[in-house]
Amino acid sequence: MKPYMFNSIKLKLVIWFIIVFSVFFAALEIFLYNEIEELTLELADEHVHSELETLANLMAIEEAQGHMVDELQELSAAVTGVYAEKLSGHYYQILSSDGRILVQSPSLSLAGGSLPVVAPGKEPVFATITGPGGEPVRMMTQSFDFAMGTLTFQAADSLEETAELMGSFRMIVLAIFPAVFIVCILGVFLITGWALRPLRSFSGKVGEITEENLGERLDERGTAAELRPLAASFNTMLGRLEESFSKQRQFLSDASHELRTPTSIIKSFCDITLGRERGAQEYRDALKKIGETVNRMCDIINRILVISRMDSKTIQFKPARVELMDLMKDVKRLIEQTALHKGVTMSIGGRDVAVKGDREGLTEVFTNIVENAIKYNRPGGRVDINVGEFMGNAVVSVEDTGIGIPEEELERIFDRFYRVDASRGVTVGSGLGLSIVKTIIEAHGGRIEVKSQRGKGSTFTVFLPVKNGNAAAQA
Amino acid sequence: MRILLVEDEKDLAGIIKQGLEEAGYAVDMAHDGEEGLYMAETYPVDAVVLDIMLPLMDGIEVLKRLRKKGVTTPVILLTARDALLDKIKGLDTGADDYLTKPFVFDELLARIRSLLRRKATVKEAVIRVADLEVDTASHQVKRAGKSVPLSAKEYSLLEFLAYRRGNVVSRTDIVEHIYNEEAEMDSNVVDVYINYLRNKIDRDHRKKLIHTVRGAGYILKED
Repeated sequence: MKPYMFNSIKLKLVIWFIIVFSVFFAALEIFLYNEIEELTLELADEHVHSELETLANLMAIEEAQGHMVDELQELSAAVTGVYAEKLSGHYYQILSSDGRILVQSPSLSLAGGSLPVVAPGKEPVFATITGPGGEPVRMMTQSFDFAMGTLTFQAADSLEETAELMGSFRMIVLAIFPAVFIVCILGVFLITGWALRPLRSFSGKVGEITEENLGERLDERGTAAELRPLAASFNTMLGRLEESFSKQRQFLSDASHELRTPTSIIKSFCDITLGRERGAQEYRDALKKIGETVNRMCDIINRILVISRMDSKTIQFKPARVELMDLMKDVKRLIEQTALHKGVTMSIGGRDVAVKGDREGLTEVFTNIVENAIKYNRPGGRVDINVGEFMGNAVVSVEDTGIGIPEEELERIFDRFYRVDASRGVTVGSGLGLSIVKTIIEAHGGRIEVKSQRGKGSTFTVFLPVKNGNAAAQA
Repeated sequence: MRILLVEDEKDLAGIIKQGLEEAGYAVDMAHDGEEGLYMAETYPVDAVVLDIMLPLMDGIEVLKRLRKKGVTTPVILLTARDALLDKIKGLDTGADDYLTKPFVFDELLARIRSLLRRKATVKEAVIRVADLEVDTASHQVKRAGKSVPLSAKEYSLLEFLAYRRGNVVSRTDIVEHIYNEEAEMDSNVVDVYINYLRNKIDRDHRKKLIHTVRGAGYILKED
């Protein structure tokens, strides 16, 4: 047996039910049995008590009339009814103070038996004894004072009827208990099965959801109240899953789309160049173009790799103290050639601020931003870099005099593979640069903002939390 | 035959243009949607190769506007996405064919030929006029079973006439369909090429196929 077989709500419910039901039902029956037994005994006692009292009253009347002892035998002879019948189960006898049997009911005398003699006492004494016929009897003994002396009265009634009653009660209980027990267990099985049905259908519905139909949701309102929170949190989880799946799918499709353009350039160059015999120069030109395109492809692939590593968090940032002014000067040096080529003047101003971050990552960030500022600038334009501090943040702004970004596109420029240039007739870059920038900045706990005016230029502002001195060492 | 190529990726556009020209087509080139739309409306091109992802106006929009203005020039859509929905959308908008990047260049040529045939009165890949055979796929020309070597321009001219066999074709038509916008528009050039063609095709044969229709142009027919 595997342990999980016992890990069933239904089985647990049934076991608990059996235990509780058995204990309760057994206790109830024991209690009822005792109660009934006591009650029947009380009834028997009452009965013998009234018999005995009748006898005693009779004796008192006889005594008052003056004929006492002589009459006793007559009394016994005159008895009719159940007391006259041999071993009828109803007996009496009267004893003298010295323990002699003065009178016996014919039911006793006819059988030649007697009730066991008990010491006289003024208080009534009850006892269950074995009667002359071997049957259990309830006997009462009580002594009264008469002129002739103390007389002890004994009356007894058979308990056979009571025993019979209790016997049949026991029979009934023993027969009913298992029947009720079985019916109840069946009931519990059915009820738990019925109660757990929503859970089964719930898990059935959950089981139907795969990668293909992540858009489906569980019907929260149609679910049992107890399962609603589960359905709700399941739906929330599905939502998150769906989002991440679709993001991933989108990324994959965008990435493959991005690679198709250079692939088709290479392919077309091969197809067309190989289509006929050509001179060496033509082959060289074609190979050169193919080489350039392959470089472009490699760049795209590298960026895709960076992004997917950042997504899977396998890129390790090595945080260290980075002086931003110093870093921006490095960036300027890296890009100076491009700026010169385009005829764009770069300037750096402000004051030095240190942050804790990954120097390589931050270099990538600012190189990208400044490169864009130059790329989309006009010849003779400017790129002004300012480093400063504002409300606990290091602030680096890069302002250009370029073509600007249309307002409706501002939101999307940080999206992966989104290219503003695509709609401006300029084809450069992979469309991944700014999304990498944003990811790196966010990994540093910072944010990036952009303001732009068409035709006048754009300003990218990067905010990075300042952590210098001791704070940097602790963080 | 004159083809308009609308593709923003300049390297790709350049090499495709080269390939198409080597295949004997006159090629006009546009690098964004608006320019593409303007050229497709204005120039008498025989087919348009239209990229979907274009700056300023995407290919689907260009196509939509073209068809709305009643321009029925055959259009082949080029796209880097092979999503079925894109294809359906493109074809429903009025594209005649669809090609996913990267494509085999010969396939593009074959599809262009197929579109040109669809528009022409001739539906076969090999056009026959009497004992003249013009194979539009291999660009091989035969007269009476003998191969006739032609230059690219000569072939283009003959093919243009062959597609319209039995119909008079004006000099302007010829110039517009076998040259792109960059060429000098001089209809004398046509006469020169017609002369070359006659030398190669008709001179050695008693039955002449290229006829001059005075004041109208030329016609390729059996007699």
